[in-house]
Amino acid sequence: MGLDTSATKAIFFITAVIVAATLAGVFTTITFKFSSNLGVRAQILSSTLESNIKIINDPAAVPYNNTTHLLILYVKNTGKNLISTGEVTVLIDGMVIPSSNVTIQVLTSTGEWYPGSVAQINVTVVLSPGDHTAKVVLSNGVYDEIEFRII
Amino acid sequence: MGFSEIAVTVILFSTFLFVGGVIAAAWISYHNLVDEATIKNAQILSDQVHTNFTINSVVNVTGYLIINATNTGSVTIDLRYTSVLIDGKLYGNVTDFQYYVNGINNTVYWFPREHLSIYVPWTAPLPARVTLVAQDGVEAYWG
Repeated sequence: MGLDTSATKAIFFITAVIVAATLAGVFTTITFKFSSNLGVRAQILSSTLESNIKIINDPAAVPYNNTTHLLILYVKNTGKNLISTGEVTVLIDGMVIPSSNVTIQVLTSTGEWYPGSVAQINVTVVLSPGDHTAKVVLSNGVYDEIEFRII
Repeated sequence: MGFSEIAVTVILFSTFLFVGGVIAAAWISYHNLVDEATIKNAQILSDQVHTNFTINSVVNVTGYLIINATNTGSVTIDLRYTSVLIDGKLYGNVTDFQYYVNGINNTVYWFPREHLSIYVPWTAPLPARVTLVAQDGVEAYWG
């Protein structure tokens, strides 16, 4: 075997190993990204399945002050996990209420909205007498909606 | 087979084994988490379907509003998380008041077919509407 042949074989070998290692690196990166995304997806799905809320107001007697325009919604955590109050969206008659007009107070000693506990949502909104809808949406898309009447 | 082919085969084969292992582990973890959540979701729905209770009467007796109710479902109701609304206003949970389940007051559980009496301090006239809401969101109305 001549020097030329050995050099050629060495070049082929190095090239082949570099190409194979590059491919291996690409596959590994893609796999880790896929695995990570699958984990995130599982967390989202799990959170959605385990979360549940219920607006427990009496639809015929929802507290509303005609002078201060304060509407009070009582929302019970009927799911299996703790809910964060930070990202709750309130819609009245299909319109999103700005967060500056919404305050949430969890009615527990710890202030945590754990399963079975109730959060009081104070919404400042001008409502005319008649039928209306209120919808409360959590950050994971779980929501509840009621129709109610203002007399 | 030359040395280059063997080296490439070893690198790619070990990579495929590693990648396969990582994907399999991620897939199993995904299904475990989702299966667990699905079971909890089924429990939530099952509890809601099987929870049922009725308010039999609401009476105004010197200083108290007495709410009498019966658990007519097949789910045990936790009174610590059962809300009391009177005329649309939330007054608290059952355990915030004096209450009796079949005559006893040292329990927080309201078992099926048992009778519950809640004594809410009350000096106003008889309210028009009373609502009880169980921990799973099932409601019973009076009025």
